[in-house]
Amino acid sequence: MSWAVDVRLEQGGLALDWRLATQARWVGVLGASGLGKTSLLEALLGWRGAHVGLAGPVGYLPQDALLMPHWTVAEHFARLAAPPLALDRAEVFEPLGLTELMARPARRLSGGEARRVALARAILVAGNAGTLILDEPLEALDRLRRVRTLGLLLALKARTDVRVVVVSHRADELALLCDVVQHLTATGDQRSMGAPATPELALAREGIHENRLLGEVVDVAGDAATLRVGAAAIIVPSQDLVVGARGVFGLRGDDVLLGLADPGRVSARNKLTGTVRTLRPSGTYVELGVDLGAFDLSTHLTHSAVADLELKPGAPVHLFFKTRSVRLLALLPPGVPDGSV
Amino acid sequence: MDALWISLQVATWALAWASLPGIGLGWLLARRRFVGRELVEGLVQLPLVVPAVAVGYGLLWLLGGQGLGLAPEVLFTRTAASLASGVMALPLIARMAQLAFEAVDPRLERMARSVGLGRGQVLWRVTLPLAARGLVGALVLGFARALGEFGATIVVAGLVPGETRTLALGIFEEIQLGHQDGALRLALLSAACGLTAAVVASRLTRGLGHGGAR
Repeated sequence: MSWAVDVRLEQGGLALDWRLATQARWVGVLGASGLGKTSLLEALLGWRGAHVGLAGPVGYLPQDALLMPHWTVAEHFARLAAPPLALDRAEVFEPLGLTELMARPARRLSGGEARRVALARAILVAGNAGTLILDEPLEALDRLRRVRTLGLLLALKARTDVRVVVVSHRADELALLCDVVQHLTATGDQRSMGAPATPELALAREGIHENRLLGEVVDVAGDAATLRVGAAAIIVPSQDLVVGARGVFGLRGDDVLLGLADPGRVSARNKLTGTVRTLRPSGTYVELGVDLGAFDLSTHLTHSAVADLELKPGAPVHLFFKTRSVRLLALLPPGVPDGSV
Repeated sequence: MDALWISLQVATWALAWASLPGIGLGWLLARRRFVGRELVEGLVQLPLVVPAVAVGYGLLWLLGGQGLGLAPEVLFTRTAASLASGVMALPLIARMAQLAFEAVDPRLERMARSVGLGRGQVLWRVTLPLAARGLVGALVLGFARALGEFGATIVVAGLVPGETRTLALGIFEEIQLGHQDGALRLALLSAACGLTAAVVASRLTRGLGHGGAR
């Protein structure tokens, strides 16, 4: 069991009993702001309420960073007790852009900079086998910093045994990082924590049906880059990409068109052929799994479209989608094995 | 000028007695919850709310042969004057120190603990540096308070020329003797000292309350 704790919070009229017992190492808590997520995390830490008593080192990224205002950034790292970590410090600092901030006193950092320093501190404190508690780790980060930070967290997940509770109001971030996602909801002052759900289910509840592709950039020309996903080549926007970069990309099922024949000359740059593997009715739609050889894609069609095209398992189909439908979610640092994300 | 020199000496020694207990009590009251906390807080503030003469009498009783007789030999010396001034400055130092410590976010201290600093290191590297301005301000105000002490001092230290005749006692004596010029001169001198201390303290404590904020 990765997690076996009972967090009880009764504070300021706010009540919650959260029994966290799961094999999953990375647990996401999804909830709107103002639900007392910070109180919940600090109860888990033992900073308030009954003492939970997490064993081992605990790294905490609070919403307000909690840096020592009179220390420089470098002092924050020089003065902490750092257990062994599979990642070098440079591998942690570089994606977070901390190298040029090292000499700066903490009181002169912007809010976003302070949170990046606090995230690095939490990662170093937790080490390979500790606990990480992250309060909105991607908040206040610009696009490039966000995809690189997600890549760092995925590398941490792949290369260490650290266990993590991460709180966010964005299901897509949690789905990318976590093994299970729990939904925090409010009824008056009573807070309740939903049952652990798979990342896919958590996304589906938000109405998001996203395919994830792990690919390596093999060519960049102008505003388009070529991505190798398995044996297939996919054209994606070149923003933030260089040749050799590896990333996790998202492709919404809604953005994929399906035909029975090659559509000929169309504006969509991506045209792939495959066979229907599964047909699963889900509400007003049918979820269609297509085997493209190198990987699977799923797309959503109406019942009438499925009937009209006479789609059955084994039927050959053509899929096509626009360059801009493929979004970069996380830019991976070197050393993350393919099977781990 | 003799009176000013004596006053400065007495106030310095008073600060030497009162600073550590004052800062310690301030920390205790800001950071610890214990049984009888209100009582301790009340006792610390007592010299502020009873007449200074009564505090002087209390000290006289503790030290002198008529009471407990802890140290009758120090009565009517500069040491007695500094003790009296120290006791009168203590509540101010403790209260100001308490405010300075309370202005440091306790979550910062928890964070410092959680990244591996020991209790002593947290106090030395986090709490004290962040409270430093407020603490120095507390000491400056305590010094100013000791400099102007009269009621308790005159009871335990009397008015011994060249030994315990501080600025405050000197003014009193000059008035008694009808020396208006002398009284005015000493009064202006004390006003200058007090003003200097007040300006220094205000500069140091400005922005207190943001000690823990980023």
